[in-house]
Amino acid sequence: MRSLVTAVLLIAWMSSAFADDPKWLVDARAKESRLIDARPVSSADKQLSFAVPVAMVGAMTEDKGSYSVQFAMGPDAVANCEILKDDVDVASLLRETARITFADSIEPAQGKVELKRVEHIDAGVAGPTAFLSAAWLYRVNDGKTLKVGALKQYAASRLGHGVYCALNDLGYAKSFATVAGALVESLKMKDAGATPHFSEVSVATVGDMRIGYSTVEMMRDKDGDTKSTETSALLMIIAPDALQSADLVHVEWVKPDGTVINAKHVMSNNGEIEMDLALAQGEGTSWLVDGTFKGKKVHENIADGVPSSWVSQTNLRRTLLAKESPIGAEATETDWLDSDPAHLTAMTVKVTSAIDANSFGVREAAGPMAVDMVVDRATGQATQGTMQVGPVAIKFARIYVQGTP
Amino acid sequence: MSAFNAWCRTFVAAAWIAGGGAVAPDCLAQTLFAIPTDAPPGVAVADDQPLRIALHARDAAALAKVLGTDPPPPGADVLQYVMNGYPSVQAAAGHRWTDPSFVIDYGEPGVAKLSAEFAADLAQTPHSNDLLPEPLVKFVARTVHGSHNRGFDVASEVALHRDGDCKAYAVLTAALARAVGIPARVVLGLALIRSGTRYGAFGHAWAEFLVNGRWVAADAALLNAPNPVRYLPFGVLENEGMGYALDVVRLTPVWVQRVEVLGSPAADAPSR
Repeated sequence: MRSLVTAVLLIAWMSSAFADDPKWLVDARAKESRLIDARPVSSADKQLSFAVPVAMVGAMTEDKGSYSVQFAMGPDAVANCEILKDDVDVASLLRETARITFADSIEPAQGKVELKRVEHIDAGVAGPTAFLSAAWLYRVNDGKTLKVGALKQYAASRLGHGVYCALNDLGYAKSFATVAGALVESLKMKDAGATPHFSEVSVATVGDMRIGYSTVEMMRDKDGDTKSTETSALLMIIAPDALQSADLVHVEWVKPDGTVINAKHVMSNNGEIEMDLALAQGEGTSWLVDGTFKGKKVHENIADGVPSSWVSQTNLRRTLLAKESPIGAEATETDWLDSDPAHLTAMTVKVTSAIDANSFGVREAAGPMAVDMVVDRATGQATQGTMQVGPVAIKFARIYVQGTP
Repeated sequence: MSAFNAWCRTFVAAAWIAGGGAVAPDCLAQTLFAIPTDAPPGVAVADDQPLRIALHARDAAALAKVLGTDPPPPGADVLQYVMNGYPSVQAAAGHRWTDPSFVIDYGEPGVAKLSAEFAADLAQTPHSNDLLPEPLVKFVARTVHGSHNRGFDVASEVALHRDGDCKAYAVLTAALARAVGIPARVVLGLALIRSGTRYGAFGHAWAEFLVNGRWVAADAALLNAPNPVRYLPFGVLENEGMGYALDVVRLTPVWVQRVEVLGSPAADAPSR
């Protein structure tokens, strides 16, 4: 951060549109790196490798929990990336590292953080891997001068390892996203497990901002049963200077016909695990829910019901859409939702419209909660959707799919 | 499980936030789930006077039913309404608003400890039982620190962390009230806040106490708000069990999407 301006100008800038930005700021934000052909990089212990289109600063270092590497984004701009040895809750990682970076890095080095705001959140894919990113603007005061800065963050979970990159500079936004994306997409880990036979990534959008993603990965065992793992990461701007994170992992084992064998919900909010519940068959047609929720032990018996699975739900939609005249076709199912884990929630599925020859509008509803989806007729899979939350419409779109469930 | 569940989760998380975000009551800055508010210059009305507003909602007829006012014309998504005093909203029959529940878990040790602190506080000050609600709301306002650090915590979590947004204040207020025998519940709605000649509407949550047969607002979050607040409840949190998140979602059809502040009511406008 080299540019200094008066407090009046800064205050005006922080509260105004970028159309009013002074030239120094426009120039600072417009800076980009001179990217090069991607260069392969390996850790000394050969546990990981990747390729990025930018020069490294120094060598990769390793400590107990991660591998660290720095990239030269510009003459005095360095991006820091870490490949963690364990997996991570991506949304929580971004929220918590922002807090730590402002408190332990920016403030001691640059002065009191007087003002900060979340400029935007983004989500997408780097190859087959979902990512979530956040960009902050801030103003610091060291007692003599005021400075404006920007923090860019990028995080993903790849091959069972968390990846986090950060850049503290007003510029290099596109270059940083490119470099971080290249690292994630090209990352190879020696301890990587088998490749899922099916995977998909969807992103959630509010207004014009992508605020989170949801992924589904399926692996089949030797008996033909499928382990389906759904991971979601969501960041919401709840105040101009505050983020709320939600991370959820849902795992279900299903038989080849989609029947649920057992399932699990693990959910954290702002990095704190608030739900860790397992669903298993009880006696007869009953189900047992065991674990903890909101700090309390849970042991609930669901007397009767058949929880649906990702596979059984797509099968149901495909069956409805296979009818000669599918519009108006309707069916019901029950789902084990993390938003009401002590019950199986009844849901209706109704074909509402024809979009084109291959896709139909389908409404799935649980009481007043409804999502209007675009469903592919051949597979029964949802490719887009919209939910209305009071004044806000949340839109969903599948942006990556590979394989067959 | 399907993509629906992930989307539903987003929906529920958003609804939680939509259900309360007015941590900084003097701030009219628009956050993601602030409710867009139109208020022409000069429209401000004295806070003890009726105020005419137009409420845009997905199901304006259902909102009219909640508020006990005349429905809008068929098909209309705007409800004309006069804010005049605190409206009473109905909940389904069969609730016992004095019992502990998963959300209002006043039997949990953390809440019981706070309840004892409140009792000790109260012993220092002469009071009558009729006036118990006021010191209780003040106690919660002193105890909880306003922040965006938490999601939708149950009362025992609020007692443990002692921070959160308006939902935290609301559930703890209701829990401590029930612990001393005051029927209490949590409502979700909007807070219309005036700052000079400007108005801003925010998704909000607060507690209600049943006092002399009438539900009254008990809002510890905005107790010390420097600006006047008018309340418009959309509904009561009726499911206080593990599915309480879905109950928040139940209210979304009547969730107000936009507020127009119109000024003093015309003589023939319906008034509540």
